[in-house]
Amino acid sequence: MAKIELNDVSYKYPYTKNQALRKISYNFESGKFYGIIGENGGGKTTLCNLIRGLVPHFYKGKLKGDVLVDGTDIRDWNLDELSAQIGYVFQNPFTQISGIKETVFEEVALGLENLGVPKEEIIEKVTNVCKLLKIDDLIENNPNELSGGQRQRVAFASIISMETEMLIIDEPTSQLDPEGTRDVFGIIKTLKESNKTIILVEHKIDMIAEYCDEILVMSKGSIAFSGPTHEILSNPEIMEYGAMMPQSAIFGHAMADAGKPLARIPITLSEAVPLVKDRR
Amino acid sequence: MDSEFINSFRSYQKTGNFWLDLNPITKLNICLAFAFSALIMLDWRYGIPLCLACCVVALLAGKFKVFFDMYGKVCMIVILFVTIVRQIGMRTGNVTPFINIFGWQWYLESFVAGWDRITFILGFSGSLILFFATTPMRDLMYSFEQLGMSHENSFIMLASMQNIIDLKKASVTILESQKSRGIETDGNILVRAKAFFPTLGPLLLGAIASTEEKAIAMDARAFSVKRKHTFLRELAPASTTQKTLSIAAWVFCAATLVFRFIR
Repeated sequence: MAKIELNDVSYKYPYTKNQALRKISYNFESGKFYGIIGENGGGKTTLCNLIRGLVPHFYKGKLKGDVLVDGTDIRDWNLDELSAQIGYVFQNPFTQISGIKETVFEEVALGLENLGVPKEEIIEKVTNVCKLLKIDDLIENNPNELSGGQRQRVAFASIISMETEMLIIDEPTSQLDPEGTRDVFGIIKTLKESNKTIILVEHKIDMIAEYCDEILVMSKGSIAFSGPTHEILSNPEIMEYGAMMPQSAIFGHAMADAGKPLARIPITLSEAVPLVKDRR
Repeated sequence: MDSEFINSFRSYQKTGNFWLDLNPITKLNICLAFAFSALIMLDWRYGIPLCLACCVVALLAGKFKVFFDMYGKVCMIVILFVTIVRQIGMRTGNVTPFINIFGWQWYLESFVAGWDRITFILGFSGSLILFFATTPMRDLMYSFEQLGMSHENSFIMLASMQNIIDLKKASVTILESQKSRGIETDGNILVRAKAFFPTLGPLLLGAIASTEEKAIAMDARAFSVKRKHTFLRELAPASTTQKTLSIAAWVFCAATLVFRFIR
């Protein structure tokens, strides 16, 4: 059984005329890593809000179709209980800090306190997550005085520490430098290896190409393309829908256009290098 | 990673200072009892020693600067306000001229009459300011939660404190951006007011927008899950000695009431 099943789902925010999501049908399988890409305003964040239960519980509005999480309709889920099942990290790092804790260590522990985890277990989990996210040098700092990038890591650590079965991550690297971005993707990869279901919205397409199992391209509230990462990201048509192609794929197509095609269109640098070598 | 810091969560939070390490509820009981005793006594011979005692406790607790920053301002306002009000209400007749300020005659009797009022207000406010200067709000909320207050109320109190700081920062940012667009923000009070009031719109809209995201962020941390919460940072529950101290403070307060009536 799929972890999340969407069947002919349409959604309209309150007081708006246009539908934010239009006739979406898709199954998210357990243990897979999904990347969602596409134009701004294409419905990526709304789709995340839907899966997380914020639509319709928090935002209200008009929801049509079936949204099943572990076989139960989203309308029948208690939003509070869903938060213990599905972790959610969103774009803005400045509003993800609770504002009630005076150290990063306590901030990361907040979710675990709310879940009633015993203190010794909290200490162990928070220590490990802080090391994993490379924020161990910040644990005594005030989270309200951190930079955007540092806050993003703290917010991410706070959700990871809760060890939810599924994670929805909406542009977690928007405030991070290239090294920080690579670190975060490394952590997401580790989470995937521990068999978590991950849905990631991200514009850094080269990273998406490297780590995701499946891709959804969203445009105007609909899924324009979906399928295995290689198949989708090597398809130049996705650019017509506001999605980017990886540099390696652009290179592969340029080579083909120049009459010197590679054996296949690569989507990552590590895939492109041997293909170029073989061509010589 | 600082293991000493991490290990500090394994035991009750302690500073090594007797007053600071008192359970917040014990401290609140003591401070309230003495504050009310100042109201009951209404006498400068009680008010002044109480003010001094508050200063000494703040000093011993290592929080004198925080305490006096607030208390000093309260002292100034109360002394000025009460003295002026007393002076205005002073009837002429059998009075002793004390000082003449630009033709306004002040009388010695108005100072004497205001003295008791001033010292009881300062004794009362001193006790309360001492409590808030030496008790972190998070410790107070923790103690209230232990007594059964909901964590939602505790969050609202603590988040409001942080929101005030955040709004102040946002206000400065908006003013700075106005300045960079060539709008005059410095100068006399009229210029400042003209620059400040238009910033209230974006400030309030920004605050409302961030409230929605903050609610989602807290929801993501399982804030409303119906389970018994645990606490990483714990305070020692009030010991028998501390409970005795609280009771003794209220007995003392009751004794001042009896003393006031039989005097």
